[in-house]
Amino acid sequence: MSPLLRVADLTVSFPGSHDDAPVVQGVGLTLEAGETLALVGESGSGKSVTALSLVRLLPGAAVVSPESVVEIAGVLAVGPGASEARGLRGGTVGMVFQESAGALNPVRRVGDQLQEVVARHRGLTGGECQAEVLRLLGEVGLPDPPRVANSYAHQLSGGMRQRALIALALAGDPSLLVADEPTSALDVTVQLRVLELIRDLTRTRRLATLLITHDFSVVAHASDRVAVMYAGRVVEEGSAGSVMRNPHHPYTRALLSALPAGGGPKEPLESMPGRMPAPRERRGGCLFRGRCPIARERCGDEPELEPLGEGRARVRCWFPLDASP
Amino acid sequence: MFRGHASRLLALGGNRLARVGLAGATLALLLAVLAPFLAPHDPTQTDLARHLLPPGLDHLLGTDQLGRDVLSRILFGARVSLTVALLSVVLSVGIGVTLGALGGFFGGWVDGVVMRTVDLVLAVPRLVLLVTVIALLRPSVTAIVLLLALTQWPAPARLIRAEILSLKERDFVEAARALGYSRARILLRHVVPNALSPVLVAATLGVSHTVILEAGLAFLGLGVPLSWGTLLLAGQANLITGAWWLTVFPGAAIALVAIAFNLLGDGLRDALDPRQEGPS
Amino acid sequence: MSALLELQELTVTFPARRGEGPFTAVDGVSFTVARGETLGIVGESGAGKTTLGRAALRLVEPSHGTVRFDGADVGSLDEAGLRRLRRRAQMVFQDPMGSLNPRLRVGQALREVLTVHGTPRERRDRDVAELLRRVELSEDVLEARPHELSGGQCQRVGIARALAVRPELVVLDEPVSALDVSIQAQILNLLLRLQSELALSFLFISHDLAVVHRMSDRILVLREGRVVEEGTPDMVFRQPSHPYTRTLLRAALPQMERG
Repeated sequence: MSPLLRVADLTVSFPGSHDDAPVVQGVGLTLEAGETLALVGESGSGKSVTALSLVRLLPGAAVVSPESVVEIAGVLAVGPGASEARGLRGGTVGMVFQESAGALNPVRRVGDQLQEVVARHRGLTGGECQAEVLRLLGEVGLPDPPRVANSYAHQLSGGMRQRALIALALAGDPSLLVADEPTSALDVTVQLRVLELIRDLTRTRRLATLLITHDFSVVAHASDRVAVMYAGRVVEEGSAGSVMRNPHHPYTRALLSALPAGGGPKEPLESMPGRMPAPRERRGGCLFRGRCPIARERCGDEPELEPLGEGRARVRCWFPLDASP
Repeated sequence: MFRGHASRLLALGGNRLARVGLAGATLALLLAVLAPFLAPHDPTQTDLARHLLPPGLDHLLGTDQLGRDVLSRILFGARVSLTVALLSVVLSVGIGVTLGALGGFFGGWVDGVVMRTVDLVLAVPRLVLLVTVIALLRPSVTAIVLLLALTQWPAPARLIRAEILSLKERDFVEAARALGYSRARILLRHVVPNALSPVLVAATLGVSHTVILEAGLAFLGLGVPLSWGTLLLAGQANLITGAWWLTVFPGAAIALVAIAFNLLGDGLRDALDPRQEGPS
Repeated sequence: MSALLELQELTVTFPARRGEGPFTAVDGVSFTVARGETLGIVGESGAGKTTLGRAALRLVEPSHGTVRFDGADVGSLDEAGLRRLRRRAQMVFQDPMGSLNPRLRVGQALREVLTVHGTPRERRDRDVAELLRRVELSEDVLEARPHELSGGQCQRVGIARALAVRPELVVLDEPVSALDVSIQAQILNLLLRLQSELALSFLFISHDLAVVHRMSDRILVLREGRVVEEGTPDMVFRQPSHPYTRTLLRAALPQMERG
């Protein structure tokens, strides 16, 4: 069976702004129904650009190179002869963005916004449509759906707004859910419940969920697999638990070690020096080698993203850590 | 206050239309300043023998019904029209920025007084006031400039007040307080310079607005002698005789200057955003 | 050792606004910060952390209670006294870029602090260079404006600016929340090093329990303006007494279990 989402050789650049250097290069991912893949990285890693290019929501200046392929539920979304993207958005693909005042229309009731999507993508009308709206609001765990449907965005708390946004993403009955930093604006306690909701929906609805985040606690709470991005490339990809417990790429290791939870009070943190190279500073070879504690001469050539073994993590490194099974 | 921004202002962020605007505005000002040297004739010299001549070699833009050279009158008219526009804008922005900044920054009763005065000025129908007072005082550059300034300052005042109210909440202003800076320093060095960009843009657009407004006043018979509006009005009476050059050329002068300042204003809007500047 | 900063029953109430009643952001909070100590304050949005930090420096006027700095009542300081306080107690903000004046170059911003606080002209350049060295920035940044710098660089400038007056206490209001993980670690290490080099006291405010745990000698958990838990980091983590602290811990847990 082919995966629900297949991304291959995705390369995106913004001509003019970075000397045409790609901000995302050669990204390949697959995602099955019922599975959550977290795309994790720091700012500038290319994770959001990757997510946006799946549904062709990139700003006009962006150029997706011709060899890039994105296939969603067997339909070519990006690539030679790709179909019209608008049908995908809100339909096959549901999207949830970082909760902010702008994500919901402030002057329309939540219920009306949901009805519009349900009507457009599902062809329901009248009472059926209204019933579906209330069902969706209930499904995302909002108490008293009729009241929420009658509310405006500013009358809801941050957590409730984020649930309403998830309901909106589900309204078109998608098979792929793309969630870009869905909980970053929320308090940790609320964050936890929203992540649980996304995890449950992924299971019950057999969604393929792509979760974009910078936060490893989000990865730990809500994802099955994780792909770590650095400087526009996926550098490590594997099951979330094993990557976090036993990272193989020096960058993943350094990133996890830099988390403040890794030591006691007043203990210095393990910080990696320098910063991620900007697109125009990316000059071939392994892009992490300038900050890597184990970089050697060979790192001047760019390594491929290779599996360490059957069913094991894929790593883009000539000298992966703890590589023996 | 714009030290260090001069080069950026002149470059206008590489915006081609804005450079056209800057060139147009500069040219208009130069022509006005150099009018006595550039004008081929005395703008007030009548010569009835040569009245209503169409554009030709002797009189590039023709002559009016009293035989005065239209080109020379437009060049000298630029001095009047641009003086009125620039002075009234500078004055109204000066008053508006000072009062608006004080009100926005100090709040409380200071703000109350400023904003009630703004309401009061805006409640007076401006055109009626202008027509009445100028009719009483006789049209003169001083009278028109003062009247325009005194009726136009509420716009920049509100603009800068709104900017300052939002700037006051910004962390860098809070940081300045935490660093023990005096209120005068915070206002003059940290708040006002960051609030001026929209005002400068509005002022530039205001110049073109005022040139047109002055032409309108002239049409009501309240123009300053020799201003472009006055020329336009005088020419209008001769349109039926076919002397199109008496309206077309002053009209074109007004339109071109208005367009130039509008382009410049829009260009400044982009150029004054510090984030637009490349690494220096 | 006597406390450098002492808050007693501090309450901050903001006056009623249109359609809303008066709002009490901080409600009867007491604590002390000893010299060289870091007191961590953790809580979610709306807990009153930021207001508390600002009230401690009298950037916000309290409605009840007292703030004492080195024994002196901060509430009764006159202009001159407040100026002296500003030289001893400083602040670092959450938004690294937003806390710097966008029109000032780094050199201008740092020199301004020195000018205002009376450093003789001939010493200013040397002091600026020294400040940059302390926060590990190269002198290349002197001519840069904030938008030309990265978030981490901006935050280093913000720290250098706070250090320019040679303060004894620094209120750090979410100093790393806007930064990426790898940059966050660099800044936290910088703060730890500066604290030991300069014997600074920190009031470290954050929503992130893991960060506060790593940085603090003692922790206060704040909820809806009130202190619900207080203790050493390990006490708060191992035996949280308040249910709210347990909820916070559970949310942060998978991350905390690592390492």
